[in-house]
Amino acid sequence: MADPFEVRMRFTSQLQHLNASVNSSQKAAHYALKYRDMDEDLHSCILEQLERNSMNNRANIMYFIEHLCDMAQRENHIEFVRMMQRDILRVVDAVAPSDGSGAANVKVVRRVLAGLQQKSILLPDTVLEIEAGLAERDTGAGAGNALSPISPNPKATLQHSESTSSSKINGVGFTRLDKRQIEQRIDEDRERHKRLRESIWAVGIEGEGEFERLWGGRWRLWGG
Amino acid sequence: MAASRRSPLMRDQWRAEDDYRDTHRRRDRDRNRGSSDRRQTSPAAPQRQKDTDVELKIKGKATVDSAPGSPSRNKKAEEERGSRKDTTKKESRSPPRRRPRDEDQIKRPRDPSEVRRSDRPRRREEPDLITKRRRTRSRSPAREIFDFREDRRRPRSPIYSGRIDTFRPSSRRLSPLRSSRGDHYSSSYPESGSLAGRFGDSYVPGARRRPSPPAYSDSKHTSYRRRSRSTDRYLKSRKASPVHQRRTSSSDRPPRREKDTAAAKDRPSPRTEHSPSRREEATRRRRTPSPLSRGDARRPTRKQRSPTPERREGARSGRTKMQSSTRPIQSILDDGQRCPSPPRPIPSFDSVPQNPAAISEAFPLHGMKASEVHGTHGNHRPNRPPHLNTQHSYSTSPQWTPNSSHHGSPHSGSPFNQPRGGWGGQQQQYQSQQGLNAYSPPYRQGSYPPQQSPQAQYYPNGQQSPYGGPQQMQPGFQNQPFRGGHSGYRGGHYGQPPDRRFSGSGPPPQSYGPTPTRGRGGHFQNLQWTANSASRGRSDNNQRNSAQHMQNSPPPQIAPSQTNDVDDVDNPFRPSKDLQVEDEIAKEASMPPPRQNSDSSSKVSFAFKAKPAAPMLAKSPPDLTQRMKEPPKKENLLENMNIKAPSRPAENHAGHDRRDDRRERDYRDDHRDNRDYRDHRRGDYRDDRRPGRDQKRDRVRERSPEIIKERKIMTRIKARPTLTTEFNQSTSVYYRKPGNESVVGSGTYGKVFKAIHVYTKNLAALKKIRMDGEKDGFPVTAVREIKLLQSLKHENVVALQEVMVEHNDCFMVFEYLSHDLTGLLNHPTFKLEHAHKKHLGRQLFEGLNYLHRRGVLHRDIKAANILVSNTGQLKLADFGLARFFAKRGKPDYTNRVITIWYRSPELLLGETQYGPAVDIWSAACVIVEIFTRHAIFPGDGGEINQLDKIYNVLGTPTRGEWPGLVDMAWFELLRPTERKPNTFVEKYQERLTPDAFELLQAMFMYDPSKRPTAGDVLEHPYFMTEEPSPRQAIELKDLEGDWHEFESKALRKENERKNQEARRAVRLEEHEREKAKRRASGSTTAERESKRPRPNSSHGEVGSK
Repeated sequence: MADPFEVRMRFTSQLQHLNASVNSSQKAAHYALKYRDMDEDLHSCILEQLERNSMNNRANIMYFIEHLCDMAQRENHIEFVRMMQRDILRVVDAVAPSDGSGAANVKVVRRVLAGLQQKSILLPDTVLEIEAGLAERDTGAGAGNALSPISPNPKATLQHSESTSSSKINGVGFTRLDKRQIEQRIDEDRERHKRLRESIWAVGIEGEGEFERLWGGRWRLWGG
Repeated sequence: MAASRRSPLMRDQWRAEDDYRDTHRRRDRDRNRGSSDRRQTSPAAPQRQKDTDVELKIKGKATVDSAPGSPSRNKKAEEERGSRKDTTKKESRSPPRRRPRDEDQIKRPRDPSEVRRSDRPRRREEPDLITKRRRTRSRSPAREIFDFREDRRRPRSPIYSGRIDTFRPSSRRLSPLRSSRGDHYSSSYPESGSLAGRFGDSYVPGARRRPSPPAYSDSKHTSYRRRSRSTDRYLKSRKASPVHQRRTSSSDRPPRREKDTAAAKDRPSPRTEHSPSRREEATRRRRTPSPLSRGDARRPTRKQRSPTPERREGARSGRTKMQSSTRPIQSILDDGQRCPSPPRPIPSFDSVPQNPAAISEAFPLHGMKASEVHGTHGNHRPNRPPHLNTQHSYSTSPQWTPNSSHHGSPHSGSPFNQPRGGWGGQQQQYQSQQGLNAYSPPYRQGSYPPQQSPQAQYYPNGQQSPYGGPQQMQPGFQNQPFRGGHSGYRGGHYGQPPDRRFSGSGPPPQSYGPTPTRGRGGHFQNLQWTANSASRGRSDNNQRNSAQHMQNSPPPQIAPSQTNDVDDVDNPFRPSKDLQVEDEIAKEASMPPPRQNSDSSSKVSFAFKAKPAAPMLAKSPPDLTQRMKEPPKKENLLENMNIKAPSRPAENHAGHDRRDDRRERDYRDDHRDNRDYRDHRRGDYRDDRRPGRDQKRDRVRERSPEIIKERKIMTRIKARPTLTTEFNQSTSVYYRKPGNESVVGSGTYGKVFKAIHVYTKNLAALKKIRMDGEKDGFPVTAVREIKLLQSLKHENVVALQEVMVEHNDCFMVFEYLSHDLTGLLNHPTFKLEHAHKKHLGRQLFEGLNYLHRRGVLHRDIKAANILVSNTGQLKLADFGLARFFAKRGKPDYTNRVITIWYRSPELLLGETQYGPAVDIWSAACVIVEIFTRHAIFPGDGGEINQLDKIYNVLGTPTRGEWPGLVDMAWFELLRPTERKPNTFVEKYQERLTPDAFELLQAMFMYDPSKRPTAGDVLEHPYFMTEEPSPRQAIELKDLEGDWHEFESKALRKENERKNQEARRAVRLEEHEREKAKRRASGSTTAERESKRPRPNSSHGEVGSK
């Protein structure tokens, strides 16, 4: 139907403008599934954008991947899922670089991996393997922790500064993302948190127990 | 009306019983049930107040929901009851009683036949309900309290009418203080619309009402106290073993016993009819060898009053009638002011009857007041009459509850002696009785004691001085009861009169109002009266005995006459009587039949009474006679008015005749009346108790010169109709100045306006809930805020008074405080002293401690949200971001809370699982601000900069001091670029005291789990030991104007604007010069350059802003 180049351009644009809203992620996922015949091109497009954009955008793409896999599974187009399983390590490396520049995204990666595992897209063993690699990056890429030294040791501070400088060389903007990006990220995280909390009200079959718990808690609150 | 009033007392007293009886009563009144429940919810008057407050707050929200329906229901129910009761009352021989009964019945949903007991409880319950309802309606409890006082003092009728028309809610509010009375009144008033008419119809109701208010106003404290005590006693006695009490009382009243017995005989039948307890009491009384028991005491008083027993009886009846009429008239008058109903003439009656003989005497006595009166009392006491009086009072009260309680133990022999001995002695008796009353449910005792204490307090406050002492106060109560007893003798008359007083109470207070001493004077008068009554009482008793026999047929008439007498007595007692009256009325209604039966017993009691009364006779007779003569006329008028007004025209006519007859019959009536009085007394006591609670609050206010207060009340009454043009034109009950003049705050939530209640003149802060831009209807955040505020009640938390929907806008109505911390700290001249700062800080943490204990996170603590009154009281405000938090479990809240300058580092780092520690951080920022007058972390509004500000002062956090640091969601995002040292010590150590510095260091811990709780802060040495000790910043009252962030901002902007203008002017001058210079060179360049200054200036403005 559509010109493959145009599809690729449009999809790239969508990925670049992903935001924290579920809406934007699902919109992009729908687009990808709509042109599932070009799934390979679209997947390469995802990887390309993951390695090219800001850390904020990488995080958003990471969340998008979760949506895409989920939707592809439901649409019985497991090609996307298969490709993602194959390239997950590359994705993680892009979203949470080992140089410490993506330390802020480690939490995002973990969350998404947990979601994918829950959806049986990733094997638990794979997730554990990735987690092991993330553990190092979590604290800020080795010496990256220097900024929050365990002890106010001036030497540690020096090490930190060194590490930061080195990381700067390696990474996109290691020490600090752009101020605007940080604030954007904060807002996006809040937005995601808000959406997440909306699901608090979703009650499952065991909702009765939750009701009882809340009801009891309610009295505790009022009584207190 | 009366019933309702009585009912409150009854309810209070009976509640315990009621609870038991509730099951029985339930049949009768579903309403009662509801009331009982409500009552249960609100235990004590003080508690009630609190409850009311809470309710008020709730009301604000829920007023619309609950208030309207319930009151109307009550009214309807009352009306229905009234109709039923009326029928039953008609059956009752004594029309006046019937009328009161009707009122009572009206208030009481139950049928008269249902059992007087049930009625009593019902009454109690009903008042509560009403009060509750009213309370709910009433937005501000405090106002209500005041209003109540006013109402009481003021003739109820006028007040009610006025209030009813305009303030029905307020009147209700006022009534709540009086408790049941007010409620009853309000309920009754609203129902009747023209209460005056009803009052006119029913002597009792009007009289009851009227009398009660005046008594309240003047003698409210004393009377309430006394009554309450008596009620307590009564209750106890009732509960415990009414018979025993009565017996004891009878024994106490030996001289009166004959009369009492007679009265008891008379009484028993009615009592039996109405309430088994009454029957028991009557039987007990009858049985009791000493007729002196309540009935006797009352009777003797009557006798004492009336020089010749027959005449006395007639006089009494006439008096009672007169009084009742006068009272009703008064009430009517009062009402008349508001209502066109005939009663208006009554006011004159009130003044006349009271003034002429009894009043004049009483007032002079009042003038003599405590010392003299007490002296007289003391004299009288030694004399039989006073004892009789006291006994009577007891008897009156005992008749219902008191009889049992008072008479129960102490009455026997002791009562006389004690009464004679002194008021205190009587009090002791009561106490002992109470002890005896142990039977009576401890509840009552427990409840009573508080009432008594309050009463005692009242006495001490204002009345004590007159009386001489708290003991006297108690005596005063006793005296009242005695009076009540007298009234009882006159008794029944009094009882009715009290009822009338209640209705008329409004008016009487007016008339009495002038006689500020009413309450006290009333007591004194009562004492005097008692003496008189005692003397008369004896003769009266004899006459009464005969009269009682006679009365059997004419009981109603007797009741009116009694009311007349009562009026005299009532003046002192009015408050209590009023309260009692309602109950008494109901009882009276029931009483008539018993009277007939009990006539013989009453005779016996009379004989007993006569003995004590004899000495009194010489003293009192003239007064009594005078009173009798004078009051009757008034009473006739009043009665006529009342009678006419009432629904029972025939009875009314009869009532007139009866009034005359009553004078003659009064003796008989007295007996009957005694019963009634007992009932009234009981009711009054009950009412008193309730009012006592309310009054306690009121008392504090009222304690100040009663007379003056009454006068003030009068003026208020007059003022009400004439609102200032501004207020009158106000489309809202809350008047606020037009335009933005009234805005005292503005924010994302909307605007806050300063407003004044056009009727109460209370200032309020109206927070307009912003509805524009709300697609989903009423903002859930506002609902959350309202819900939170409704659950909070603390002196350091701003009180939500109500929620008001007006002109399609929703307002939250708060109490108004003149300043907030930002405004105060930015005040150009006012400086807080260290002790003031510490006091403010302590209040801040007390408020926080309360919130956190209640499971509430404020989440927006900042200087601008901390209000300070002009008395230095601090209140936390703006709960727009507050929420309940889970003390257990894993929380997950939004971290976009708290104004960023006051936001804790964990929130800045993205923590969503936080707790009260975030408020502690904010409060620490405020404390620093109080000391330095500047925010400690004034960031630029962004999280990054804010964290930098914190790091600049406190240094960068380490994992050692904050292990959870790296777990913060945005730690990597906002990780500091460089390590910074802690400069807090060097920056603030010298500006703070050592303990304050240490405390702030603790509160500024990075790790939220290491910060102290609000409770810990309050126990810190800074607040506990370090000098100076906290001292309230009462100097704020001298601070002119209101200082809020809003004003200070405006001031700052204004100053900045002036500065900018000055700068601009300077620049312009410079430019002009340059232009002039350039013009010399070339015009074009000058023009180009001239344009530059503008942008420059604008930039300057922006920058300054």
